[in-house]
Amino acid sequence: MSHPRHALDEIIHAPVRLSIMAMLAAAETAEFGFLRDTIEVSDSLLSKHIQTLEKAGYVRVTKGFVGKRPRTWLALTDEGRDAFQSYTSILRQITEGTPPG
Amino acid sequence: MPEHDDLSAEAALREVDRAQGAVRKSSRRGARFYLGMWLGVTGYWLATLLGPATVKNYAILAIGALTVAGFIYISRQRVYDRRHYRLSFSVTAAFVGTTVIGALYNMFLHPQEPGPLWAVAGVLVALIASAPLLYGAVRIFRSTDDR
Repeated sequence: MSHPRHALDEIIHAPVRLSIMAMLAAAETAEFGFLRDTIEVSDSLLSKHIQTLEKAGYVRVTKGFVGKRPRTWLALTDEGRDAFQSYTSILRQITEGTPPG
Repeated sequence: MPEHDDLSAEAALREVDRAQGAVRKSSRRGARFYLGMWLGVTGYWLATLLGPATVKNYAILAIGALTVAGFIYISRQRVYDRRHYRLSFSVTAAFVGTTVIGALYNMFLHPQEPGPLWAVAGVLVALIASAPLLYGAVRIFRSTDDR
């Protein structure tokens, strides 16, 4: 069990959740619709994955209004940011073939 | 079968780049907004300090409209790039400072009918007052090019 792939975070290492985490890692905050349009998934699928990330404590969901329109804003928690940083460093270990530090 | 079985490390890294590229692309719109504001604010100060009275009145209306457009633009942003979100606080603080300098210069130093030297001073004040917006635009354009 020494291969770094075993240390990959199962919660992040899934296509849609990876896209969500990557975008939120680069953003201070992002709107639900922006993620949906960029990742090209349905509202329901995106909601499902956001719930998984929220349960894991990686994503913070804030609801509000812009004018009369409801908006949902998403941001990474500190825990989510740490988890994503650790996840990408493991990916680099795998692709560069370097042993874990 | 786990849902990530066909997601290789290389593919995952490519997706990270692609997804973060979408956020960066969006922040370039913010840079263009700063650039537009810079042009508008420079024009406002040039018109206020050096233009005839009628132009000054229109300049006040134009800067008011630009400010409203700015608020609408900011409220419609769908994503805020992490680095640029932080930069916006320093740019806004610096812009408020240089605007106060411009206003004080206009109230207490600038003559009603400026000669050539005062005209040069007016141009300098206009450039200084709007400089934080240009700085913000350049910083964002550079950082999105580098990453």
